[in-house]
Amino acid sequence: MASKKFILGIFGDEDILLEAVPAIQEKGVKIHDVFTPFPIHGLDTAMGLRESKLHTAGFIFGITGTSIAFGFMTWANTFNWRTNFGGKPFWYVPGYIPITFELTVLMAAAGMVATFLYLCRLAPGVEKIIMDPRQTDDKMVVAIEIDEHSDVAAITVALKTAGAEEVNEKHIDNWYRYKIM
Amino acid sequence: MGHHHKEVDLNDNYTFSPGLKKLSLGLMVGGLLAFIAGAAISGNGTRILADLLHNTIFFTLICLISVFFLAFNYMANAGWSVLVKRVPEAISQALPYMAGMLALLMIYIVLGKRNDIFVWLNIDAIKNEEVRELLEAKSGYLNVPFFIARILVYTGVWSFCAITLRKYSLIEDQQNEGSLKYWKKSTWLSGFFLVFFAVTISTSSWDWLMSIDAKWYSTMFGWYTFVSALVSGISLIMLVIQYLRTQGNLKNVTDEHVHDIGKFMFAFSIFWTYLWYSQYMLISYSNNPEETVYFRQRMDHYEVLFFANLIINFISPLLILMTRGAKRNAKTVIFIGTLIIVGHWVDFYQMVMPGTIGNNWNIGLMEIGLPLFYIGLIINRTFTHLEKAPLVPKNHPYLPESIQHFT
Repeated sequence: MASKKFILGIFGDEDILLEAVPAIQEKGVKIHDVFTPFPIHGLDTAMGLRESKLHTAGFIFGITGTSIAFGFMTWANTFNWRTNFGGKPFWYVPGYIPITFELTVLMAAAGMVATFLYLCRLAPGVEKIIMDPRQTDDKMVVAIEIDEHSDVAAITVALKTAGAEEVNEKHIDNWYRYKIM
Repeated sequence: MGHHHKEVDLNDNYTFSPGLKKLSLGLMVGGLLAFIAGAAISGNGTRILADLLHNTIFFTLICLISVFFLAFNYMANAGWSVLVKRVPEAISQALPYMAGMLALLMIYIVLGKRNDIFVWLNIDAIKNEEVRELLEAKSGYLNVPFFIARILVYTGVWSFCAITLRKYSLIEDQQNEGSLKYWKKSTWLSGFFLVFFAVTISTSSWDWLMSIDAKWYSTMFGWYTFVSALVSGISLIMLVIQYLRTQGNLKNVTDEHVHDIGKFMFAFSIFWTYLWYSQYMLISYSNNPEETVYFRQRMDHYEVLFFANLIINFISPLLILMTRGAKRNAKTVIFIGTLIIVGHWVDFYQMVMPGTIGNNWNIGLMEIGLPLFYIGLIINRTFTHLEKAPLVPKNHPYLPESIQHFT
């Protein structure tokens, strides 16, 4: 679809928002997304989002770093180029720990940043939707996607009764530009 | 945060069930009998004293960690822990008993000149001249009067803080709503305690544990002992919370609070490993005989325990507690909490035994009996005090924050 329509409920208080989100969903209204200027603890649970996979990615990147560092040092020091360092054994595991640890942290951190950017579709030059400019300042925006079959009046009432300060409509043309969101 | 979302029932009173009371007394009597029987069979005075030393220090420090838990939460202005704070408060009430027994034991050892435990008690008996000179140089710190003065100060101040923090918390319940007087007093006392604790947890571990191997020293030792006790103490708090939840108490404590304590167990297990490794690595790398002797003895003669220590206290928490779900799962945290306490008991065993009984170690009746006695004592004291006051500190200023806690 080239264009999309949304109804936006603007909220001013995170306590009200946290109660509003499940209340709106209970009325059978599907929430497209909630945009907030700061992280709100418990919002993901309230929206019923599935758990992030980011930490799984972090674990895999980390274990990759562990294996590369430990494997390389083992190969280099015990097979490829044996060197006597102060009479230590060639396979000197305690001495490998710091570098193994460093590479684990490095790969986990860098890998998680890359995964995060990928999951959020963030990169230089990517244009993101701003539903309402105030979502970057002091308001929280609940966006509900509508089409010609939607009961706009009912959704508006649901938002208002849940505590929305105002309810607006938002029309986004050229949705394809943002569809990777 | 403004208002509550849900109706909150703050009435939460625990009754010490007769079954658990019997179990605690049974553990104490049975443990003591096993200890006495084991001691009589063995007849080895050094082993008996070393066993007493090992268990008394370990369980004293576990109770002390509950005071530390209360204090750092006060100092950090932490809100989340308010709903569970009656648990460490109750555990800390076992501290005066433990600390008293520890002080008596230590005074008995040093006044009895038991140089089979602390070699520095009788420097004249040492034949090796180099060692004698080394210990004479340390005698400004390691001497009997100063040692006794120190242990009296440590145990006295720690017990005072444990009792007073509890007292303030109970008085706070009787105050008018919104009165911050006793919360402020507790915060001040916590500040004092943390400063005192920071110094004395190091010096006490030098006194009671590191001075067993008096020729050897490590700058990591104080931290290492502290974290070993810390992670066990937090695990004990977790176990008591889980028990109370199965009894239908702590109704307002959610998976979020459990998750936070689980994070402590996970994080401090990693931190313990970091300190273990730092101590080991520096000694291994520089390879000085007078330093490596400490690990040489443990790796040659305590091999099973030495590696079990790392597997139980590092690998297991790392892999089992890593996921979010595991830290919120009651069965998992009970299992790993028990494992951590056993693991660090083994860790303390290795600190005490090689320098006292030497290379021929054996875990028999008395090594099993004495910890059971102390566990019974701690259960008895903890649940007696849990019964004495409501489990929700209703006038604590951060109570609302704790009730609506999210992670």
